[in-house]
Amino acid sequence: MTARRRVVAAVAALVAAAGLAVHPLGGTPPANAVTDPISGFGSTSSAVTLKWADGITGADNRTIVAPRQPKGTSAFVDDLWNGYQNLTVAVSQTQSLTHQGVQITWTGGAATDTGQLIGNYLQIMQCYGDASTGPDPEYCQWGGYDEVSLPPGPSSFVEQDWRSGSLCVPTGSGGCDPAESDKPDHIVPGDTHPYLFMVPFVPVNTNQKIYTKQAPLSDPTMPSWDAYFQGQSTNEVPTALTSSDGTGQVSFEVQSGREASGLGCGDPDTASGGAPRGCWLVIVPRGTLSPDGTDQQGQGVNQSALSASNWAQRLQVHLDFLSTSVVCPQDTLLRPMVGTELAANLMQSWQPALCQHGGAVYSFTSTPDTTTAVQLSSTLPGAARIALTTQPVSFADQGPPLLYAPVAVTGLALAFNIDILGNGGAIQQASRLNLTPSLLAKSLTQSYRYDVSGGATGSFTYPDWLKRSAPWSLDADPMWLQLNAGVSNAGVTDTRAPMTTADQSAANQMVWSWIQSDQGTRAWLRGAPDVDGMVVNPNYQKLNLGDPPPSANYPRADPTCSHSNAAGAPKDACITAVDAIPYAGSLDNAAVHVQRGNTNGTPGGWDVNAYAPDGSLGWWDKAQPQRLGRRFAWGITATADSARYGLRTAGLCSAVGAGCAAPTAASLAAAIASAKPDSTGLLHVDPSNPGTGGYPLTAIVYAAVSTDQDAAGLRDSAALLDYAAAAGQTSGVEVGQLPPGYLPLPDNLRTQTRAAATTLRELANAKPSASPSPTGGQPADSATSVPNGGPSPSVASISAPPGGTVSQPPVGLAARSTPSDSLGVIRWVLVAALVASAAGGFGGVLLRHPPTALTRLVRRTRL
Amino acid sequence: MTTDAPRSGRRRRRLVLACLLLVAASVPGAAQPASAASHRYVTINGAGSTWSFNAIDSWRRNVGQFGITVNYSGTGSSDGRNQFRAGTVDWAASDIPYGIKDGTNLDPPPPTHPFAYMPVTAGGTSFMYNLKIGTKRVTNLRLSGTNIAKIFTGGIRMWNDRAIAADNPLLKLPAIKIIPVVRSDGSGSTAQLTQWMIATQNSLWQAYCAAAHRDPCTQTSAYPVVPGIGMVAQQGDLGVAGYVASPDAVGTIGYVQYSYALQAGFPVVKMLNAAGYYTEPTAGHVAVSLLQAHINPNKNDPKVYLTQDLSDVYTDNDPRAYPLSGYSYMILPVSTNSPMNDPGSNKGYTLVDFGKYALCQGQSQVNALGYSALPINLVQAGFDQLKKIPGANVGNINIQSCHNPTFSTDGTNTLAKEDPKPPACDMKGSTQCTTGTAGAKQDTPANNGGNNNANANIPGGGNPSASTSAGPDGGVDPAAQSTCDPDSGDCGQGGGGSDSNVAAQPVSATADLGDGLRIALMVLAGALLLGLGFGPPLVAQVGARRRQRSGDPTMPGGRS
Repeated sequence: MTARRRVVAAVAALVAAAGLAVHPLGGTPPANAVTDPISGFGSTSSAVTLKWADGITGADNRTIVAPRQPKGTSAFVDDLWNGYQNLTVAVSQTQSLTHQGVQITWTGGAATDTGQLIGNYLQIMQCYGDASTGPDPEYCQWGGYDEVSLPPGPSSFVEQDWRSGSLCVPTGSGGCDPAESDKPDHIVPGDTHPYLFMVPFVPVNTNQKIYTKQAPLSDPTMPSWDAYFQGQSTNEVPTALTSSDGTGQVSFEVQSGREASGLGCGDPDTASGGAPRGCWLVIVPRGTLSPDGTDQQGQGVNQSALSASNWAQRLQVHLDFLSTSVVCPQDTLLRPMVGTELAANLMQSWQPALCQHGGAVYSFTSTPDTTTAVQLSSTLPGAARIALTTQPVSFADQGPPLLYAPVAVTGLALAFNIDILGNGGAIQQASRLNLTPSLLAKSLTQSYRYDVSGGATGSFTYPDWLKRSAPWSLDADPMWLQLNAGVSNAGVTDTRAPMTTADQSAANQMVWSWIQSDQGTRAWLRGAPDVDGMVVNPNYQKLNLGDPPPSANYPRADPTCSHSNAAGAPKDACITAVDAIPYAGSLDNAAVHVQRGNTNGTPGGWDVNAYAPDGSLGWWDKAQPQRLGRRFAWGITATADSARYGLRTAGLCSAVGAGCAAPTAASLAAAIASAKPDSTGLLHVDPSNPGTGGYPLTAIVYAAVSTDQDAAGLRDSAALLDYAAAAGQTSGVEVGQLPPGYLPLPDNLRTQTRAAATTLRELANAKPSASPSPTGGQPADSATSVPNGGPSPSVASISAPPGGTVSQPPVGLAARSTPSDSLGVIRWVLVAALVASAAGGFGGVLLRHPPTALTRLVRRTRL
Repeated sequence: MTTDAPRSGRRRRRLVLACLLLVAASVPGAAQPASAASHRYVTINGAGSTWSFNAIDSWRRNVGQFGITVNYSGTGSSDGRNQFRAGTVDWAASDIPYGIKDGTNLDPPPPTHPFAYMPVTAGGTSFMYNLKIGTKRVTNLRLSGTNIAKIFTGGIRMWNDRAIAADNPLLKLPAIKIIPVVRSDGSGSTAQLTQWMIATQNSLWQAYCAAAHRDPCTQTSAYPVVPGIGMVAQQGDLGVAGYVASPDAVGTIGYVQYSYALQAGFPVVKMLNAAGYYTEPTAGHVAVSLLQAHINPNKNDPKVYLTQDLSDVYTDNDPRAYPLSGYSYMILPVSTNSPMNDPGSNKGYTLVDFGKYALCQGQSQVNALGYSALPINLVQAGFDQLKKIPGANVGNINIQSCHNPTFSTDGTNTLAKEDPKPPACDMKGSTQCTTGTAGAKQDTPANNGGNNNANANIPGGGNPSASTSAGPDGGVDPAAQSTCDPDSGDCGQGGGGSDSNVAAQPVSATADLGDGLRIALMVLAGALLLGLGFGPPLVAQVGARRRQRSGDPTMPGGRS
């Protein structure tokens, strides 16, 4: 054995000693956790399943408090029996709710006809109501969208979220509700000859009846339900689509009193001794007939879900909430953190828990990767001393010594919202999707005709490189058809390119790295035709996307700019690649766009009736959400965002379509088991080799903590790591938990994080000026932050970590002999930086700042 | 067609309901007085500026831990003002006040929604560009105001224009077309750019505006595009930045908030200021510039109070000034008109606490994003505006608990005070810095040395062969650059002179280090490096041998 090999072996031993050798996941998921911590999908112990035919259930979600009206009651009721007699709805969670998503899935529903959107869909809303028999329609958050369709139907007059409708009087229009005739409260005050009813909104804890969405300009103080909810804030689902097989699925955003003050769910209910107020989920199935039995052909559902006849057809599920009062004090100095957006959802969940019991209050700002180094080395007041990153921070010049500790395992997701258009207009929502490196490469390089600006129009002129025989769009690609049989939508006449962010990031590089994992795709990106003769758009071929290093962004390189031939359209202006395939502002933003089916850009038409920004007539057609039944939306987002918005995520397969892995707890855990350390010691999953069953786009987020901060800062950083290594790794949607999209850290990584916290505290204790106060935070302001009944959030133990004790002051600090000279500190910081970087080169992940700790680790491994 | 009938039916229904509501308004006693005993946080909704979006979105996420729920849509300043006027959002964000004409749009202030302006984000409108010499990206482009105006009014069409060359003595730019990228939507950035052109390049703007058949040629939110000059219009800052960053878009230059260039990893133009220096809108430079912003002090006129007059910013002769610095507003409701008419004014209460966070702790986040933290005078003026919102917890609005990072004990703006003077190579003259800008920190080597042979070796980056070490190094926070230019030795005094904060000038003092100590340090560092390089393997090897002897097979070192 050569000496060199011995050294290599010794290094390997050290790496192992530092806890870097990755073991399979140590912990097992909690027994009742059938919710996947990554996708957020699944069920809980408080899931409820209801059959429509059984009738309306009470607050126990079992007892029937009102039976269904029998068949034969009316044409309207018979129509509903025809459509929904087998309807079974499951709600994934009904207890311990907070502001979160719950999965509503159903079978046996009447398939939605998306051609005209006449009816046959579910309408879903949240209501309050203390009676055990259920809420009144006045108590529901409904009507927030300003009477527009969402998602849009085939025409603008199909508007599903009215609170009003027609009375059965001679002056009324067709499609009235006979059951509304004896409800004086449903007549707008002052209306002496009513032909419309209006179900007012009554905010919780009031008896105020609100009859308008928005106050008229002539009386701007008139009560309006906009004061409680509106399009930006409401959680109502006006049109929940039932696929042609009778199934459907919605991720419903349950809102607490904070988000929906008009409902007050989870707020202390004085009538029941301050316990959190329970609320209701209401699902109104809609048929094809109006309550008076008339056909709604061409008009869509013409009566409000809240009208008496429709309301009587509802399903209702009682929801129990947690207390909503866990917050942080506002006037303490924040500990700023910056870093990758992959950590954003995590930090939002942890923040309110970190500040409890006198803990510090932290802010987190998602910043470009390059800003991370700038911030950590900045001397400006307010600069961050903690950054969250998936990569070692490299300073162009001098930077502070850094200590890395793993805090989260997460990933990128290719989230989708796709309607499959079948024969006769039947619609099936795609629930599964698989992709290969080549399919993604083709979609990201505008190499399909439909992804070139104007490519979907009849007047499109083929560029030389684009073969007429090549598949015109992603869902016509033979590989797509092989992997995703049936997932296509001929009704979509626009680009199928995925939505991406516009930034330069290490996260984006993971995606290109996965694409480059296939030799064939690399060759294709360099210009070689694929088996079907399709070639890469030469404007992308020039970018060497098949060669290392992987690209850090998603360029728009095709210069085609398509003109509109419409009368009045400007000859000079045209639709660019960025117009046609717009960018998302963030990973979160990309997920929102996918959820809304709003990933496409300007369609390219010219609307002679639209107003230009300068007020003149004539403007481009607005980019709009895709129509229900015609959605083909997908994008690159974070697993935490796809889970947050209830999106399905694609499986990533090998070049031949084998071994497909979607982001799940199992696939991320498998990937982590394959992770390898880089030269700094940070672990990375190699997207080209993520292990058997491993998800290629798995990322490990590290906290990079500058040790060049005062004692209080070091202690607060340690507290963050303590939390990250313990309570912060419990999967769940409650305050302080690990939100969906993040995998609990394996035990060996938690050990590193705890050790890092110990090191930070040792450094803090060694600071001569260390103040006795434990953290920079101040005691919580009792007026705003004391948990008000209910369970308190899970909070990190601030007890002594198992990292051992300090036998002697760290070298760098012990040597600091001239504390009065502030420049001396800088010198020693340089030495410390050298120590740290050298140690990092060997020690791996944990840049053990003081050599004493390093030797201790080595010593420990000999035991 | 059957489509018209139901459509008109709906219209009728809408109309009738609206009329009925007017009647209902006269019916007394509908509303129940709410118990205003204690306030609570409720959801507040806003829309508007994309220039401010990155900052507001970050604040929105962070106030969640205080129990505050904020929704914000970056739909453009014009849309924000329209929505606030229509009462469909609680608050708006806009880069400009009401009343600036967009062509035929009058943009009147909302008649039924009394409001107040509150400065909320300060920053620079920057010119992000995509330019290459051969295959090498240009990252150090400099332009005078006149040249910028000419580019955006069609007066300069080629990158090798002699006027641009005069700004860039070390660059021989290619003979390719300039593609100006402007905003297609109503935009406050456009309004700020056109305001600047009117103030400083009026004849250029008037001629261009007339060619676009605009009348009157005022400041505008909607950039007029004159056909035939190859201008491209894009939606939002993201659209402009995305277009400029396209690989095929070499030759483009567009105006965006600085943070978008940082995100995209692209350079921005260093713009010539009145002192003869080319600067980029770093946090510090913007802070310096805004010292010259005049804020309308007329408290009696809410239509103008706190609106900005930037004319002295444009002409600021501080070497650090960035001429297109400005700030953006929140438009706050100061009545309980819909939709702020929830009983107990909890929305107002929530909005005020969100506003306070934005002015105070929120400002510590903005430098990282590419903005500049608001100075104390604007924060205090903003406090006064917040106090006007019904429901405000006035007692909570105070500077003591603000924690804005620009505040210093002596009342000056810390950012401005510590902002270093630009290096000599940024001065107008026969050389230029080779260092990169904004999101593209890599150097651009000079390719035009021959034209300036007389100056090829002047300090400050003139020598192409010395370019890697010239000027502040790449990757350093532009706002935290060394106070001294390492080559020229030119140390700015930060405008203060009596500055006692030594921590703000860390690098310049290295020359004072004693030689002996320095050597000792070097030796120590070297020894540490060596020790760490050889120590651990040796230690591990010893351990491995010991384990081998004891038959322990668990360690990789033991097996070998």
